[in-house]
Formats: sequence, structure tokens, C-alpha cells
Amino acid sequence: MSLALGRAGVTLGFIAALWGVLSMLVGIATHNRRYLRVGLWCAAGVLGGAVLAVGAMEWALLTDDFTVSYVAEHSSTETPFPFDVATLWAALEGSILLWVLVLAGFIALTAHRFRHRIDDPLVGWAMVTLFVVATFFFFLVIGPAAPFGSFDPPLGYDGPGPNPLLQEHILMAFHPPMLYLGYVGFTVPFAFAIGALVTGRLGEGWLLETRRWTLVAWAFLTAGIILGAWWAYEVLGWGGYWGWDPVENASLLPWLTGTAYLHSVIVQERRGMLRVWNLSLLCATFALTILGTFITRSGVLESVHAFTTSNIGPALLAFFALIVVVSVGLIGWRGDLLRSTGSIESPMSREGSFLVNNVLFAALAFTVLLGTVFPLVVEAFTGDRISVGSPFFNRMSAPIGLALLVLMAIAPVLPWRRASGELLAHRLVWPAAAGTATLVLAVAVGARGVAPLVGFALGGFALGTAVRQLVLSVRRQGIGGLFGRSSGGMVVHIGVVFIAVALAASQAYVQQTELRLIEGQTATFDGHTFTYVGTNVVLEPNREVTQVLVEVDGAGPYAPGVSRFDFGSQQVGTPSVRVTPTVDIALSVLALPEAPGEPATIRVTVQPLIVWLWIGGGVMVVGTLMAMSGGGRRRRGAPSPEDVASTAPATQASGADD
Amino acid sequence: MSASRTSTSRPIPLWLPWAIMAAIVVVALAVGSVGINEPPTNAERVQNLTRSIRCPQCAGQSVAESDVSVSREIRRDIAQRVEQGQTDEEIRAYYSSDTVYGPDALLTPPADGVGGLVWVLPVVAIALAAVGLTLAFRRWAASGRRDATDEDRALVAEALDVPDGGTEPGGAGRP
Repeated sequence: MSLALGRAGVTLGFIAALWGVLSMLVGIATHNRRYLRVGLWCAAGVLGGAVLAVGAMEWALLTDDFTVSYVAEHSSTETPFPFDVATLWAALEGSILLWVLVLAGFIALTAHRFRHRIDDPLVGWAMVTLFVVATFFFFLVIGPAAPFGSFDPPLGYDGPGPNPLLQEHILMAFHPPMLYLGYVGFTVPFAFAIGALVTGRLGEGWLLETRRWTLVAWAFLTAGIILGAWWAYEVLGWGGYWGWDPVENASLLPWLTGTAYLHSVIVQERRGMLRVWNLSLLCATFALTILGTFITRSGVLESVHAFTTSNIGPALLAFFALIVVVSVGLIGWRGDLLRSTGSIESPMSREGSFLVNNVLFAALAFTVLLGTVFPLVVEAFTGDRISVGSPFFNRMSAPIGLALLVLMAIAPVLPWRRASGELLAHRLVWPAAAGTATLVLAVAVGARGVAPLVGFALGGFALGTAVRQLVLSVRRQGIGGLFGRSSGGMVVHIGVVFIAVALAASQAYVQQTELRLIEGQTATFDGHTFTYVGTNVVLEPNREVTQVLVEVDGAGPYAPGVSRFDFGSQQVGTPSVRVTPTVDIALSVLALPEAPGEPATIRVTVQPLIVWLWIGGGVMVVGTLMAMSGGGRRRRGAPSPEDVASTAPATQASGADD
Repeated sequence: MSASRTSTSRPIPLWLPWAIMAAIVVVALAVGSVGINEPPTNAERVQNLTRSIRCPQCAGQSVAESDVSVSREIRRDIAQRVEQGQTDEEIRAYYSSDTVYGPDALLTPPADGVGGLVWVLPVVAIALAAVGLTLAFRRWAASGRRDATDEDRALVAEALDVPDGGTEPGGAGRP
């Protein structure tokens, strides 16, 4: 039943997507509105097919319908709710199916939003692009990564269940969907960029149309990455949150180019410049999501996230090549129309600083991409096997991160076109004072080392700048001044500062050790006492958790444990973390006592300011929402002469606000 | 900071707070860097070493992060070698020798040979970008053309479907 419905769903979606491509193309070529309207219905068909397929899969997972191959291979009758629902994205085929659903949702939303303008060729070509992408992904779930294979379960068959690591924490139910909403969300601005290139309407209109989509995608991607880091910290038990694993890098790459785009697009809107660059960034962002999927899902790179080796690699690589060829070809073809119409007079200007920002983000993206694929390239050319791991990425990204903090501290106060040193010295006095105060505070509480201290000082400086801009905005416009793009952007900056400071502190001052304790014994590490007070066994339907109860500084007990799942011999650690605003103490069990009275080995990780990573991520998402709301944005979305006249004095005011 | 110019219209010269802050920053950084040049303790060395050596059985994790038994063995072994007085280089060389785990045991690629490219290329890229940006600013400044031509204005206006943004406060800030 589920099998038939699921197959019907993917088939329906594939046909609708393909039909959408053809119908839109015919409609654009013949200017026949009827074909274009069919295209809109195809969008509904794509969504219907995807919903049917995912619904059938979820039903099969919930009812343990082992006639569906994906359920037989990745689910089990004992997988508890909500992990049976989340099993959809616990393996390759299901995760592509989730991708299809998210993509179908975005296509349907786009079709709905632009249904009255479907005879606009720019919208038409954007829809063509979206349908092409959808056709490709439906092809994947029909062919190379089919979740709806048939399986004939023997009597009493039970599946192995999803990877135990994925059943440990509720965050697993949110992190992948968030990430996919971000990845796939960038398809919409990409489609409009292609539409603009094909129609030659390379003005700023298409940017304004897709601004909100880009922000939504960016917010989801940000949330997805942060939730992934949180999950790693809560589940993997090594006390870390970011391992520069290929899959993590693959999610970071489009985030970096997307962030660069969100900044440089402002220059294009204001000055009509950087058109080639912005189009390239959008195309690169989308291409990197596909490349990332290829790198991580084709088995070419080892990764903790890698699913079993599959044969979707060639298809993804071919699709990536197609995107690159089409993007580069179109941008080259339209080169004459993309000529920029202005000049940037001074690096000490808002637009100049956005350029520097883009250079830094591009450099960071290049470094991360290089480090990720470097072992592959070296092995392909020389046969040598080398590894590029976190020490490389940490060392290379730290200076770029500091440079970005400098930029965040200075750039928001820069006026357009040109700034004098005196103006800067005046506007930056209070932010710099905040930075100095942060530095003094950090030294006073005992922080040592030049690099982290510089990080803290710059963090305080950038925080001061963001707060200054928000205060000025509120003074000018009241509480409504907190909304709109620039203020929302400043809130995002505050979140970034939290994360930057937390990164600097945790990287510089992490302390880790292994303690061997027998019951009743107390050990001291890094000023904290750890007492092993006992053992506890928790029986759950699908696993048995043996907990080592540890009191930290007399409080607790905290209960890190080891889970034994019924299926497979893998034992999975379940860390326990004492969270405070200033310092986290993470405990995980390395070895249970072999017999009563024998010692247990626990790993202790003491890391300052970790909680600010998650708070910073939340602030970034809230800031993005604030950037999406507010009058300023909408006014610019549909500019009228009056609006232009009314924003100009406001700009002048902000240029001479003090 | 470029705050050396004084502002005659203000009671407090603008450079003063900056000078004071600069002094505080220098002192604070000096205080904050006292004692960081002491040689690392054995525990710190073990921590750094285990983070730079790849777990041979898992995917891309260091032995510090991994919980599989071979990683635990390596952690213990590294701690022993540090206690015995081996240097970091000796320990890394041991693990990356072909008879043990091979060169890919190191998570930090070697700085010489092909592996060095991964360190050099990003620096080259940033340097090239900086040069390109500087040249672009030079060219823009030399061209002296601060306003778009009428033709450009028409294009922009057409694209934006609004009157040209001549109300930009461009004239105000110019010398």
C-alpha cells in the first residue's frame, strides 16, 4: 500500500516537473498564456507528488511496513517516536526524498506568489529552472537513490533501525530539515538569477523580488548549521561542536557565499554595481549545495555523515557540471549588459567595505573548499594519501575571522562613497571604548594569550558598533527603527559576535582529561571536583543505557551513559553536560566499570562560553526575521517616486547623523 | 586608527580618547601575554598531539575525538611517549611513518612537497584579491568619473522603473 502510493507520488512528481519544463518553454516561446497556466498546475502536481511520496514513506515508517526497502533497511519496530519520523532523513534515499519535498514546497510557493505574473518571461524562465532542478531530483528518487524498492520480509523480520547516533537526541529531528530548507531555499534566487540572465533584464528588479527568499534560505541554513553543531556537542561526546568534517564544510560553503551575496547585493541595489559578481555568487551558492551533496553523498570522501556508498555520485557530478556550464555561459553571454555603471571611489566607504567583506568571505570559502577536496586531488594526481583536518582549518580561518570582526566593527558606520578619518574617529569612539572595556574585563577575569584577547576586544568593538547603529535607528524612528534590513542586520551581527567570542574562548581555553574513578572516589580537574557516586541502568524499548553518576562540584548527579542497542554491536555514548553561562562541563563515559568496584573512565571537557554559540545562533535567526519585516524593506520592494524621494533624505540623515 | 587630527570645534580633542584607549589596549595585551611563552605542560602537549593525529578506523576524526578502542590505545601511547621525553616531532614522525599508519595519519598536511600547496594557495588567493582590489580602487579613483553618464542613468531608471537616483547624497561628502 505505502509502496504503491509512494511510487505513484514520485512518478507523479517526476511527470509534473518534466511537464512543467516543457509547458513553460512552449508557453514562453509562443507567448501562449494557456501553457504558462499549465505550468502553474504542474507546480501543484510537483508538490502533490512529493507530499504523497513523503506521506507514504512516513506512514510506512510509522507502521513498520517492511515491504518498502527503505523501511526494511533503516527502520525497526522498536524505533521510538519521533525518531521513526526522523528516520526519513537518516539515510541517503530518504534524505533525497526530503530534499524533493522541500524543493516542491518552494516551487509551489514561488508559483503561488508569482501566479499573476506568470507571463513575465523572467518569472517564466525562473519556473523553468525550478522545474529542471525538480526533474533532476525526482529522477534521483526514481532511479539511483530509490527509497521505494520492494522488499519481501521473511516471517518475523525486523529492521536494524536507524544509526544509533541519530536516535540519541531530539535535535536530530530538526537539524536536517532546517539545513535542507536552507540548501534548497537558495534554488529560488538562483532560478531568478537564471531568469534575469536569459531575459537580459539584469536590472535590480529580480534582486528585489528574491530578497526575502534569500533571507529565508539564509536563516534556515544558519539555524541548520548551528543545530548541527549543537547536536554534535550533545551527542558525540568529544566535547567539540565543529570538526571540519567534509559534510560540515559542505554546509558551510554555501553559507559563506550566501553571506557574501547578502552583503554585496546591497551595493548593487544602491549603486548598480557588482552585477556579475552578485550573479556569480548566487550561482556559486546553488552549485556548492549540489557539489556538497556530491562530495558527501557519493562516498568519495570519508565522513562521519557519509551514508553507505551509493551510485548517485555520477548523476550529481553531471548536474553540478551542468549548473556551472550554464551559469558561466549565461554570464559570459550577457557580459555586455552586465557592465557596471558606477565606480567605487574609496575603500573607506560603505561599498568599499562590502567589497573587502566579499574578498574575505570568498577567501574563506576557497580555503574551506580547497582543504576539503585537497586529499582527493592529491591522491588523484600523485597517489599519495594525505589528510587535511581541523588543525589546518582552524589555523587558516582564525585570521580571516579576526579580519571579519574588524570589518564588522568599522563598516556599519561608514557612509556611502567616502569617509574621512575624522568622521570615523568620531563615530567609532564609543564602540572602541566597548572593545577596550571588553579587553580589560577579559584580562581581569584571567584570560590570557594575544590571539583570543584580540578576538574578545574586536568582538566588543563590533558589538558596540552594532548597538550604536541600533540606538541611532531607534532614536530616529522609535521602536519601529529596530525592524528593516539595516537594523535586522545589526542584530545578526550581535549574534555573530556572540558566536565569535564563544569560538575564541572555547578554542583557546578548552581543557580535557580522562579520569579513572572507582565508586566513591573524587578527582579534581581544572578547579572542579568530580565524584563517582554510582551506576544506574535504564531500560528503554530499543536500548539499554548504563549511566555513570557523577557529581560535579557537589551538584548533580550528572549521568553520562553508554547505550547498547538491540541491533548491532555498536555502543553509543550519551554525554551529559553541565551548562552555565560562563563555562560548560561535558562528561562522557569512555569505559564502564568491568565489574562492580572496578574503575570507570570518564572524559571531562571544560570549555568556557559554549552556551553563547547557541544563543548567538538564535540571535542571528531573530535578526534575520527582523530584517525581513519592517517598512523599509517593503517600501523598497515596490518603489515609487515618492518613496525614493522619502528614502533619500533619510539616507542623508544617516550620513550626517552626528 | 587615523585619529591624529584634532577637531578644533570640540572642547575635548578627538584624538585624546583614542590615545587613552590605545594605551589601555597595549597595557592589557601586555598583561594578558605574560607567561604564555612558558613551555606547554605534558597534558597540553598530549591534548594537542591527539588532536592532530587521525583516528585510523574512523572517518576524518582525530584520536582525541574518537571513542573507538584503537584511538584510546593511541591516546595512551602518546601520553606514554610524552612522559618518556619524546618530542612532538618524533611522535608525529612515528605515527606518520609508512610502517605505522602512513602519512595520512597527520591531520595537518606537511608544509613541503605537494601538501604545501594547501597552505600556500589560500594565501596566494588572498594576496591576488588584495592586489586586484587595490588596482580596481586606483582605476576607479583615476577615472575620476563619479557620476554615471546619461545613458547609464536611463538604463538604471528603466531597470528600476523609477526616476534616477539623483537625490543620492553624493555631492555632500566630496571635497
